[in-house]
Amino acid sequence: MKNLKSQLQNNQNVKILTEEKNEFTLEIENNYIINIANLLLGKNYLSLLTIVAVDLEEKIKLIYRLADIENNRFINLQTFVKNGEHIESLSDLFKSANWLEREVYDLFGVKFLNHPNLTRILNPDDFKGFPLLKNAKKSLKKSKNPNQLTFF
Amino acid sequence: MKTYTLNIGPQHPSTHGVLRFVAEINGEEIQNLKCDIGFLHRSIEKILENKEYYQGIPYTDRVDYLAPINSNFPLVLAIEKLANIEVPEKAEYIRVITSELNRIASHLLWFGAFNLDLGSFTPFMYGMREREKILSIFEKLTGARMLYNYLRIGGVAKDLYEKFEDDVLRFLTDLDNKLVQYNKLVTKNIIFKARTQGVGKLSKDLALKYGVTGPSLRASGVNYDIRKKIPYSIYSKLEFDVPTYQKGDAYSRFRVRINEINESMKIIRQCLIQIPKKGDFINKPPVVFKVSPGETYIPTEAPRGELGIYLVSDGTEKPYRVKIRSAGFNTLNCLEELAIGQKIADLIATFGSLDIILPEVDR
Repeated sequence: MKNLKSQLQNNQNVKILTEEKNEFTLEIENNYIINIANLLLGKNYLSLLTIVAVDLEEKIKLIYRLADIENNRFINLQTFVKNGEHIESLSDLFKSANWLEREVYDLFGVKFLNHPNLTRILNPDDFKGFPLLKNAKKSLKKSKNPNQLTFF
Repeated sequence: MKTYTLNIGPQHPSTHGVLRFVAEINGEEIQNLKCDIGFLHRSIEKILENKEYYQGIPYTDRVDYLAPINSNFPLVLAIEKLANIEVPEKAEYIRVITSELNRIASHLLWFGAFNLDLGSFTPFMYGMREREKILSIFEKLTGARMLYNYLRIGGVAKDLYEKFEDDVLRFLTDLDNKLVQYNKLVTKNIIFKARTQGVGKLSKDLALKYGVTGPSLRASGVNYDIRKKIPYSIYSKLEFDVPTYQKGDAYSRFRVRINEINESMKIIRQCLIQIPKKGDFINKPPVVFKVSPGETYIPTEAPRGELGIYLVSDGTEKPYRVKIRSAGFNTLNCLEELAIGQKIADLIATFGSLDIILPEVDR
């Protein structure tokens, strides 16, 4: 744990926000997400438990909750995505990222680069707009021509 | 040989809700599986943003309607943490007793439904029969049989009724005997073993990569129970074991859940002895109250795994954002890979053994 902490402190791209006994909250620039996630994966943080998205009107905050379940350590990786910006997908590193990123895309419209199948997951495929955005009411409209669903 | 595509669901008795599988199969063997979810999506997270804090609690009942009290738990804990509300000791005990009772009820229903998936009908009736006794206790306690809306910010809705302890103890003694019977009937049953042993093997590695939590993870050899690892409420004061099995097949998952019923019974018995006889059951906050700005994540151990609430407050009387982290979402994602190479009939056994409930996945 100490080893990891000094490594994180020396890393210029990482800002340690809070620190508890077994839980860190880090803030990073969104273009370093793959690097940092890779670093943590090497430190036995194998699980991506969830991705929380929060709409802050001009940008969207993403919180990746990584866990080293066997040693009971957690890291909340926090980053911001501005309107129209993209962020790299973590689906190559964490298998659970596949659906979790689809959920964030479905509800917030955040686009993940290099995601294998970035489609809607909870809402129907022909749904327009992103319901969990704060200004969602304006953008929500029912579509008239539902598309055929395709799977493989 | 040419593969063909088989559609299963969304209306299917074995899907524990409404879930649609699209399986690409070669003969009987699954080569690719896609899960189509979202049929029960009610956007509870958005609804909670538009409700005052205490109005949100009934909605969390609907997150996992087989374990409403466990679903209430993380939300009230998160609000209490941000608003700095103390909970009376008695209320903490009531919360733990009811949530463990609810865990037993949920596992019993799963016990029945899983056996029904495998084609044996009798255990289903047995599971429902025992669960019914918990429902009657809850009906006396909360007034409702399914969606209790029982936990409150700062405590619980009602005090325990006079004969509560007797009712629960009688039920526990009864269940003790019944579990011996059920073990004879199901756990040691050769047909049941043949149907579940070695089926749906979830390796530890795969489970961790998908963020699977709860009994399904413990059946794969990882001793991770949030009640032990990140204790909330009064769990640190209580003594109980965390059943862990190594093999990761459907049979191990079954054993974990049956043993968990025993552990929950142990917890309830301890709580009934330790619970203070006098004292408040709620520390009532004012009707309109504001939560200081901030954010917090509270994970809890629900019957199906880690149920967490990420709560963001901006200082007004409504939450700015509530994220519900449900265990089923990750587990179902894992099933897409777990099912590959299995037979169609084993898919249902695997899916049943993971104990996924769809309202929790879709939210």
